[in-house]
Amino acid sequence: MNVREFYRMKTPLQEKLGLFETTFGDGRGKRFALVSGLHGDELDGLYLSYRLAKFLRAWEDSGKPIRGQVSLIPVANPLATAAAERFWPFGQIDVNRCFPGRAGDEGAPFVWAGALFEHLKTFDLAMDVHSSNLFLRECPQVRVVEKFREAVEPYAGQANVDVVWIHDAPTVIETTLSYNLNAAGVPTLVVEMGVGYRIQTQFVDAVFRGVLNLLMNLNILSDALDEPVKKKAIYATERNVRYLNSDSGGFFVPEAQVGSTVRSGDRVGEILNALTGEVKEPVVSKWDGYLFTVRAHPIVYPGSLMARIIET
Amino acid sequence: MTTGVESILSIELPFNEKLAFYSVSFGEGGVEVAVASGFYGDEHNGMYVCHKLVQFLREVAEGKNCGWKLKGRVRVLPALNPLGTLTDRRYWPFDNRDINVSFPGVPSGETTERIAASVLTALRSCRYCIDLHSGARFFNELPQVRLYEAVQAPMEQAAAFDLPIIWRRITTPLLSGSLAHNLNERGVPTFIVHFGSANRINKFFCQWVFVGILKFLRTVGVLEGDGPELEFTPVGLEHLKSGRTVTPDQEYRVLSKESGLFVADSRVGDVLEKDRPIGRIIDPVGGREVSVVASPRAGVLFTLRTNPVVYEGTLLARVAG
Repeated sequence: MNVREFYRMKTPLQEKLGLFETTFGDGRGKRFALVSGLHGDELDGLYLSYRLAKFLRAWEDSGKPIRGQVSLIPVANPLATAAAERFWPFGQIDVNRCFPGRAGDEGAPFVWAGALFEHLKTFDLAMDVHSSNLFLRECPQVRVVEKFREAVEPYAGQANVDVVWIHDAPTVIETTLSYNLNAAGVPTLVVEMGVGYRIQTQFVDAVFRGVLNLLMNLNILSDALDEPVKKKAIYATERNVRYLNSDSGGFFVPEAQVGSTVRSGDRVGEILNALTGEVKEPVVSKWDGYLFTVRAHPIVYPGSLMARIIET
Repeated sequence: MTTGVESILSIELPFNEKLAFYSVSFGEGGVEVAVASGFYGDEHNGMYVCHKLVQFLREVAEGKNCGWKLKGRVRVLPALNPLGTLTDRRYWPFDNRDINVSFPGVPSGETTERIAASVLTALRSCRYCIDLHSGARFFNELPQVRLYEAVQAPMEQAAAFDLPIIWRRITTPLLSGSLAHNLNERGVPTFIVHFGSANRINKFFCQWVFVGILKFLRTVGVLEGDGPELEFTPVGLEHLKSGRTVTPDQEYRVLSKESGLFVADSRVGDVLEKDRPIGRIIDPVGGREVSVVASPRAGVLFTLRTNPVVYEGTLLARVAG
């Protein structure tokens, strides 16, 4: 195990802000990178990185081989994580809209993004771990851009997630890390799970197994799992994803669990009126399917997204 | 009715309140010119100009100002992110979304999408739109008209504002979600006017822009007449000619090569020689000057950083060369 700083930026007070990476392996084989925390409010990736570092350290200590390389970059936006904010705090810039970025670019987060991108584009496979945001809770899923489906889909199927969501072109944003890595020929899995500002250990456990499965399939590890992952993910596309939005404002109390099946007419939760003690609006599924997103933040405005369902 | 206040949208807040988005109109017939402001809750110059405009148009509409006549309808929307203004937040406060990248919007969507859809509906049938902005939160801007794409009509009318800079910018994917882009696409030439900085009212620049809007309204035939309202001297900046056009190859951005505190030694509106110092980067911890920031080109300094905290790559200034 080797912890090193592969990029450092000088701050206005002449301190240093670093990008840190832990590496494992003998360098003779495939190279896998896990990056998380591009959004400072997304924390499941920190726990996932911890689980992997602990596992790989024990693996090394027991003398078992790690062929190739495993790199863990758990805190990709350290100033935001330290400030408990989502974006690059100075100027509120979304770092995941700054790629590919480059040295000499306008704006510190673009320079920062450039350093991360340059580092990651030499890998054979990358995983960019996200935890939704403050508002929505997601079951473990991999998001794949249609354009890169051929290269990414085989790995997505090995990641032990509930859902693989294939995005069509109009919803794709070309300034994300994953888009640019995929475009540069590094297959990159975007993992979403949980909700912002929280760690959902059972979701991390599932993805942890998925990463070990990928490392076995990349021939970096042998026999890391008693048995390979057999889970078949449900496929979501623009054709079968349904959006449930609220009609009224109020506060929402969920009843259904994310990652469960629902029938048309089943209650997902209720929007309540705190002043009168009345139910303003029952939130009811209009479809049979798999509930893969449920609103976590109680405050809702008319039109707020309450749930996403894969219609079956 | 020649004067009317209406709400173009009412948002149901989660706790029994409704938030209104007000529009005030003067004159008869279809809307000729709309003036929008306040998408960003930390920008206040536009609201002040709207206040002056409403005050003036009311007097004209009520016949209390004999020098002027309204020949068409003017619609003013002073505060298009009222919750942001009330809570001192730049974006829509609840989810931190930028309304001005949410166009064309969705009538039944999330709040920012609803706001965008309602604003577009209210403005798409007008002849021209003026979208008022302060400098983005870290910058002071010399009063300027920005045009985001090569629409045919507006160059001549942009000059009618009689402001020092007309900046033609290239549309980026982010700007395609703006009000201006979406109105331009629908055949409503839209002039984005930037002036001053966020969180401040610059009365001098506001007066300059207010007079500019009156000149514009007169040029496009919505306002007829003359009066002392048009008298304005940009004291200290008389040397600037009006309507200097800046194309993308004439815009010179000055980026910081170092991290530190930026201390400006120039002001917006200064005419700079090449290599003339704009300011310095200092190290507040070590008590030393890290570097001198020089103008890359001879030209007019039209954007200047106000917030001193800079990293490598931070935008410090723009020069019209």
